[in-house]
Parts: sequence; C-alpha cells; structure tokens
Amino acid sequence: MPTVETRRHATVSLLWVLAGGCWTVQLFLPWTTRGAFASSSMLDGVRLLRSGVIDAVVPAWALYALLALPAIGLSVTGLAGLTGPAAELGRVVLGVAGAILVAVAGQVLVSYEPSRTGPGGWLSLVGAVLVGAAVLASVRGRRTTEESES
Amino acid sequence: MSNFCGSCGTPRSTPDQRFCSGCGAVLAAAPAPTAPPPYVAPPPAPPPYVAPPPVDYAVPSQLPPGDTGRRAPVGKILGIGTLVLALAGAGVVAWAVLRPQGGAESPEAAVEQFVAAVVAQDPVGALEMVNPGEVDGVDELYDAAYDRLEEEGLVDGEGLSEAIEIEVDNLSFDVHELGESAARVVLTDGDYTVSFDPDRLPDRLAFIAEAYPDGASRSGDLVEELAYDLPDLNRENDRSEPFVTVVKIDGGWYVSAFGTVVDGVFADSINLDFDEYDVREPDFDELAEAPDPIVADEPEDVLGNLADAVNEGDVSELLANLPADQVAALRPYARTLEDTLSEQYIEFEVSVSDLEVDTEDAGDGLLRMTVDRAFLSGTTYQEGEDVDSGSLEVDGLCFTASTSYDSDQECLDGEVTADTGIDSVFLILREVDDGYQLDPLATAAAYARTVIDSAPSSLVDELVLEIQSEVSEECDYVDDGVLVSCE
Repeated sequence: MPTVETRRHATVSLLWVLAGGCWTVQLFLPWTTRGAFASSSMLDGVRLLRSGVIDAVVPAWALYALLALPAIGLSVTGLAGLTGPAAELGRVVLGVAGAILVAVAGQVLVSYEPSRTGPGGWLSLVGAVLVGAAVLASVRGRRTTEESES
Repeated sequence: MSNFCGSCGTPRSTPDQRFCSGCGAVLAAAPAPTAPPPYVAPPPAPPPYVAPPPVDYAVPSQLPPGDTGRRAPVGKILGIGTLVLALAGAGVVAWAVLRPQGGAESPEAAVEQFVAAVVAQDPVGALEMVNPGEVDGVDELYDAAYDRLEEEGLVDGEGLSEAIEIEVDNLSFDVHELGESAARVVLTDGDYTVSFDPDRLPDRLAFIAEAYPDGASRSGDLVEELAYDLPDLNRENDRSEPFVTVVKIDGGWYVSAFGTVVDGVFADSINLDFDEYDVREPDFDELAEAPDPIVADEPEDVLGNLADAVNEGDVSELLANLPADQVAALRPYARTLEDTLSEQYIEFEVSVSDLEVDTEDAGDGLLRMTVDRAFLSGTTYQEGEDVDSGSLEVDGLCFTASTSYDSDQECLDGEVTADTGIDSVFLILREVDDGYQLDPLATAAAYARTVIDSAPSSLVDELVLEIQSEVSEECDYVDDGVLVSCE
C-alpha cells in the first residue's frame, strides 16, 4: 500500500501535471467569444505572426507572449514528478509566472468578462487554480513533514 | 558502503538509519566492518514490523526485503513519467507551430471557418483562412480603420461593434472541384440572425438605442439574403447561388478573394463551348506552378516591363511581373484570356516614357516609388474596328488625358488633397530576387490607408447624420450637414 507521503507526492504531482496540461492545451482553443481569438486559437495567432500577415494588428513580441503560457505549462509538467527543493522552487516560480500571464491575458483579451471568455480562457483559469491548489498542497505537506520530524 | 544517501546525497544521521531523511530512498546497510560477516541465510519470515523513525519516509515499507539501494519506484515513475509527458507535449506544440501548413483541411472547412471568423468579428481567424498572398497589408488597413472608427467614437470594445451580434446556423455547401488545387464552394443552405443590444452601443450612436430601446433582430434565409445582391451570372433569371473560390496552397485550403472575383466573371462562361471558339479552358493546375519571376533591375523599369508584357499579348508574362503568391488565383485564367483576345483579334500596344520618379524605402521589402512625371500611351487594335488610341500625361498632381478626338486636364486641388491625404502619385514596389516588381495589393492598401487616416471628421459627421435620419421614425433629413426635422 502506498504511504501517506507517497500519496501526497503523487497528488501534488498530478495537480501540477493537470495545471501544465491546461496551459498547454489552451494554445489550441479560442480564448474569447467575440473579436480577436473568438474563432481562432492562440496557435493560429502564432502561425500568422510567424508569416508576418498580422504585423499591424499584433506586435511582434506577442509571438513570445502567446507561446509563454504553453512553454510554462510544459515546464511545470516536466518538473511535476521531480523531488527536491530546486524542482519545487522551479515549479512554484513558473506557476506564479503563468498565473500572472493568465491574469494579464484575461484583462487584455476579455476584460475579465465571463460572457466574453472562451474555452481557452476558462481552461487557463482552471490551470491557474490548479497551480494554487498544488502550491497549497505542497506547503501543507511540508508542514506536516516538519511537524512529524520535530 | 557509504554514509550518504545514494540517491540525493543526504548524510546518514545515525548508523542504523534505514531510510534517507531527504528523499525517502532505502539506505544501504551501515558501513561495513573490517571483515565481511559470514553469510547468514535470510530468516524464514520477515522481521516484525517496526515503525520507522519520524524523519524516515514510509515509502520503502512496500519494498521487498533485500531491495536495498534502489529509490522508491513510485517517485521514480512519477519523475520519468512527467518528463516524458512534457517532452511529448513539447514535440506536439513544436510540430503545430513550425509545420508549414496553414489553412483548412478541406474546401468547405475553409469557408466554414472563414464565415465563423467574420461572424465573430475575429480578424485573426479570418486572415488565417484567406490566401496569405492576398492579405499583405490588409492587417494594416484593418488596424487603421479600427483606430479611426474608435477615434470617431463609432466602435467600442474588442469586436468591430460590441452591440451587434450575428449568428449563422445550418450552413451547407456543395463543393465543385476545379482541379487538384482549386474548388468552388457554393452555399446551398443557411440561416442567419442579426441582433443588437442597445446598451452596448457607443455613445455617439445613442440615437439608435433611443429609437430601439428594446433592441432589434432580423433573421432569415442566408442564401436568399446574399443572392439578392448578386448578379444573375447564368442569365436564367433564377436565384444566384453565393459561392467562394478556394485554393490549395502548401497543403492547406484558403479562401481566395481574387479567385472568387475572377471565377465570378468566368462563371458566365461555364457552359461556353471552348472548342467551338478555340478558347482553352482555365487550367487550375497552374495554381501550384509559379513561373520564374520577371523583375526590373531598377525601380523605374517596372512599368516598362509591364508594358512589354502587354505588347506581347502574353498574360502569363504579365502575371510573372507581379508577386507570384498574390496573383496565384489568376494564373489558371491566363491562357483563357489570351485565347479570348486572340479569338476576337484584339491587340494592345502601350508605352511608358519621360518617367521621373523618386523612391524611398517603405519597410518589409517594399519601396515607395513616387511618379513626378510620366507619359503613358496606348493603342487598341481590333479587326474590323477603328483603331483607338489615347495617352495620359502625369505631371505632379495634374493629369492630362488625350484621345484622338479631344484632350482634358484635371488636377487634384487642395480640397481633394486635404480630404483624401493623397498628395502624390505613387506605386508600391516589392523587392524580389534582387529586383523589383509592382505590388498592386500593397499599392491599393497604401492609398486606402492614406484616405482612412486623412478623411476629415466632417465626412464622418455627415455619415452619422445620414444614419440618424434613416433611424428616425420622423421624416428628418440632412441638409448641408445639419439634421433638419420636417415637423
């Protein structure tokens, strides 16, 4: 039977994997229900930016901004199963950065209006919530371990 | 045997510690004495369970006795599993981003996705579905138009108008294959609903909200609505069927604006007996076969090259003088047009002379060529008809047009220049293969952008007043820029 610590480690890892998955999959979904990215995905935006077709509508740095969230998502997924303080710190830093990106994108693209938020936006929000849950679970697990050690 | 954990390097705190306090891995036996102990057969039954010290993880309790020195398998599986998952995900994302293929997977999917993008007022989605060669500069126009409308208080929010909502349902299409790289997608069925929310109208259009405080909606048959304004191409006095021509480029299907227009013109000749008239049918395989570009060594030679192609009566050569991806949808019709002109014994002769130009870099591989002075002349020959000839002299903003019978000069005066912002005659050239080609789309976009940026607010005011008089249930009308009530 897996121990409490194993189960805790697996649960936290699963939360990070799900969060990373949400932030990766949102790349393929429309972010809004009206206007830019209502019928197109961030991936379509990336392709058009690379082809130079929408230079005037979207600034060039947006290419990196559009790819940042899935890159963070993939990174936290990769770090999800690793142990040790460095991996944990990496996950938390990337998770917070991703959550900030989601907040900024929510303001820029949908002005935090639920009726204007598309599946990509909702999925990104779910990813941010899962990151919060993973961080809380990690902190709680660490405290429990420290208490049992003392 | 080591005093440190073999997995993470955490030092052993007591000699008899069995599990690492850092990562939970099973620790090897305590450091060996000077001589190895004699072999003792393992006890028949495992030792009674002893609770591990608080600092030790309990993971190894599931390990069989003697499985010392190995890390807990659950942690290892998780670590490797998530890394593999991340790498696989990175591969999928990289493939999706870097693969050259854009557009849609089928002709009807291209039209469906284009319609969905237009309805959702999504410029990214719409541009993604249009032939990339035909949308250069369109993004700048969209941006300029949006900024101007916002400046005039006519749009608000992310979409072109937050207040208007369009829905289309039950779309169905017939696909007529024109070749491996082109298809005509005919809309055969569909419903639409257009509605607006008065609360979301920009302040400047508040009069519409006052006229329709509860909003309004309109719905109906999309095919009928679109066909109403279309010409009766087959001249059978029946319902025209809205269609869009789509082209296949690099494996993806795209809507082609140029292709649709040209196909519309040629649709009139669908039942034409090409053999009888010795006119070859359009060759849609030409779409995928771009000819070697013909470029001018110097910017001022561009017009001369085009004149040479016209004088040759070679439409393919004429198209080879223009950006290949931009005119791809026109290439299939080149031989048909050549044969049609030949069949009717029509020939052209044009010339460009006295050319004085200034050039400046317009960025993105484009060059703006301002024509200070030029003389263009042309003659049309048709068997059995009089020879028509004429000329156009450009001198700054003055144009002198002459025919065999008369001559007329027009100059763009200060008012026209102020209203349109056009203060010179210019062409946009594209750098291609160390030479230059005329870029018709970029030229048109540059003129349009100049007009959008420069049009005076008074023109917009007049437009708004016209809308106001239309919306008003009274018999109001606009007179000299003022809304007059007839009461």
